[in-house]
Amino acid sequence: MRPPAGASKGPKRRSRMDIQKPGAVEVREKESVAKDTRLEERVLALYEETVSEPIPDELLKFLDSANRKN
Amino acid sequence: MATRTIREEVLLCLPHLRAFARSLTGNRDKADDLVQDAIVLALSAAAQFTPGTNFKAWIFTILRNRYFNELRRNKHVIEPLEAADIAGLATVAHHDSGLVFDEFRNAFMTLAPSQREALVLVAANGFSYEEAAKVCDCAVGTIKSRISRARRELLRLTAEDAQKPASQPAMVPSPLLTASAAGGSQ
Repeated sequence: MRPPAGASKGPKRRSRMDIQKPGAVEVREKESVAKDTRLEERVLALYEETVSEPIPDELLKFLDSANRKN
Repeated sequence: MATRTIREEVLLCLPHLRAFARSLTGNRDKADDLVQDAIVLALSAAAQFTPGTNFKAWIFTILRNRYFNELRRNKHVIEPLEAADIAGLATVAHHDSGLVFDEFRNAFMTLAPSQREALVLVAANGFSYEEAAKVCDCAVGTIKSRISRARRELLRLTAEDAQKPASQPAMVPSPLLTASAAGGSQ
């Protein structure tokens, strides 16, 4: 049998926000910032890997030759 | 203070130009070809550079414009994967730090070129959002959203790699194919 309209169906389910511990949002924000920082450090490491390579002689010669032509 | 010649400016920027080009093309030889094109274009347009302004941003703009113009021109050309590309793209997901870094490199190369360039300009070169937007000829908000999407995608891809069994190679598509599919858009 259906309960009458408006009747309570037992305890109301609590949303995620209700059951969050105090400071949970701040913790998640800190974790997110830490993940972004780690990611950016890896991007920088990937980039620095090429920056630290010696410049090929071929490219240096090319620069000098192109510079003379201009 | 004496101003540097264009040649000296290019020479100072060369390591960064190569790294920026490598992050766009994902291939050493193609990156160096792109750098050569940028050098020729920069030297021939040297008169347009205002001394005292940001030379690095100026030549980065030349390089990325060249890359995206070529990408648009060859939009329908699907290049065969070179052996070196395949070797660089397939890796076995052992969790040794070097290989984890290779996985990150592969994940990075699956991003759309426009997301890679935004991330490299801001995270690796220290460009402000405004400077990066100027280099990419787009709005500041576009750069912010490209970076945000790139971060989300990298986190997703690296989390997926971490869950794969050690015997399963982490294959990713060629950056060129990805680039063609993305059409150089956001």
